[in-house]
Amino acid sequence: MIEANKFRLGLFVLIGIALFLACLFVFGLSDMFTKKARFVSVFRESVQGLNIGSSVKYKGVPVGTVKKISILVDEKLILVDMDIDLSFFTTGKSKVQGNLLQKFYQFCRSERDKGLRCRLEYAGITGLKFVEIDYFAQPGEPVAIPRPDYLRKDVFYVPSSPGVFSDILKLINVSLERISKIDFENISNQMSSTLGEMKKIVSDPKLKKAIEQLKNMSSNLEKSSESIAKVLTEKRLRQIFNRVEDSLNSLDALAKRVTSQLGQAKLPATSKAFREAAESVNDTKQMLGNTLMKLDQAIDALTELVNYLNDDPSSLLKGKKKPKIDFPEPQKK
Amino acid sequence: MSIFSEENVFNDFIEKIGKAAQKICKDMRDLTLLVGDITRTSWYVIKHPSKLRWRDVGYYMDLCGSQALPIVIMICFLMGLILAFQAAVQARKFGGEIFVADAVGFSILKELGPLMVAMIATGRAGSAFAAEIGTMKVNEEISALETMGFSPTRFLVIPKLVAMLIAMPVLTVFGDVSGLFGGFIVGITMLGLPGMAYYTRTIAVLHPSTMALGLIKSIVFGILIAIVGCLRGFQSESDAQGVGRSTTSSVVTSIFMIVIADSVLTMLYTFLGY
Repeated sequence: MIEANKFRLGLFVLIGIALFLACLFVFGLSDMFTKKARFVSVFRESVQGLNIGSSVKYKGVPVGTVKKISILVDEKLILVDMDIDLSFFTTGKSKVQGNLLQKFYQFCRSERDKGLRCRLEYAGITGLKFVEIDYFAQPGEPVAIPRPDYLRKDVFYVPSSPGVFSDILKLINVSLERISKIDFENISNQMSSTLGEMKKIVSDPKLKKAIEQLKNMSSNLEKSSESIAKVLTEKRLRQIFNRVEDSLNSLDALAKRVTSQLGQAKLPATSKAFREAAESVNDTKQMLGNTLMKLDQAIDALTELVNYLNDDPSSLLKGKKKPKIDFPEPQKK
Repeated sequence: MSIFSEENVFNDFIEKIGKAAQKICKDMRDLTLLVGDITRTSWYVIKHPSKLRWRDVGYYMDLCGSQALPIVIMICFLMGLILAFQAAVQARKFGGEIFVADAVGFSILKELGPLMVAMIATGRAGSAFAAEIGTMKVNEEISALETMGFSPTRFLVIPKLVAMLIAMPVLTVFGDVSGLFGGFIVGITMLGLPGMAYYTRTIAVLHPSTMALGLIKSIVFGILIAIVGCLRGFQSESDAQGVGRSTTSSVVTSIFMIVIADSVLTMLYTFLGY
């Protein structure tokens, strides 16, 4: 009989066993040597999609797995046991002094008071769920489901928070309930009567005429806007704006100049002089008035003289006639 | 009356069914006898390990194990590659490329790894066992052993069985690892997944029990291959053509039995919740 190649056979067996052990170690046997904490939570909602081995995540970091799912018959609640790998939690210090598990539970207890809760979340579109541990409640907020008394002392109870999906369902149910209370028949009747009224209004000839007028107005407006657009081309507008700007600049300069000149004008003195001048003008005006009155009298006298001379040129030599006295005639009897 | 008359055809059909049933009954009887003899001899060998021909065990382990290693690694690697390709085509439609790691991991470790190794072992070891024992029967070596008072089962069957019991799980481990590597290659090249992400996903979804289930299957397949190979060898007719027929029959029967055993085990695992 042909002998076996002992070296090849030995190599085959040894490498096979080494691979087997390596695979066992890689596929989870190493978990046996890691330190774990046991979290327990109780859910009121359905845990469909959550299986033994489903992920447990703390703020999205997979820190453990679901170990057991059981039903609390009396309370009709679902009890979920989770294993949490402590190696995921670090303090930044090289080594934590004392009992690591106790310190971890202490940390979790303080975080629970700050609102640490666990919630069921969907892992994609497949319907599978995982447990998300995060701060879903406000600090100091009372827990929805208190810790059951019969839970073991060495497990840490994390209160649950309703999942997003259950919230949506609740919202939908409330919405549907509210919708069902709406009196659709009455609304429908009101709407139909309103529609009838509206139909009457719409078929009113006055409205048609108003619409026609509006149409005309709008066409006129359109034409006007077209004309304006033609006149006020962009170039033109720019020119106008430039001119306006120039004018404003000039106005600004003028105002500055006026301000400076007003500053230089010595207003009190000028106004005093102006007042004095006004007074003197006033006196002059009065004198001029007197003069003019006298001149007027003189002109009148002169005109009278000229008229007299015209009537009686000889008076220039004879002098002025004495006024003829007309005596009244005696009344005939 | 014509030989193709309706009555003759019917009689031939009934006769064929009868012969097939008789053959099946004979096979079952031989198998039961062989299993009984193996059980009795195994108990004897367990009590007296030195009575086992360990040199023969080594030879068959080398023949069925280490010599079959290259072909097992290559076929399982390609199987992982193909599986990942097919899974990737479907998973891509839903943006679930990472789930290719799940598909490849579970399929290779629980199903395809042990099955492909069993198919290769059937072709190599099962046929070799049948041909060897058949040839010995032709040469009347088995009759000589019996005449001298030696148990042919202890000398010829138990070493093969022990060799298969050891070699099959080891081969399956190699097959599993190479199949996973095939999937890994597709994951990082075709799907563009980061190597660490694929690796992390694979070890996240696989469990030591997954591998153990596959190894249990491989042990069952090894036992089947050894028993069927030896049975067909003992049933071999005493001529060269008979040896050829028994060899072919051993391969066909082994594959059939492996598929049935695989189905039964898969159903059993499902019932047990694995």
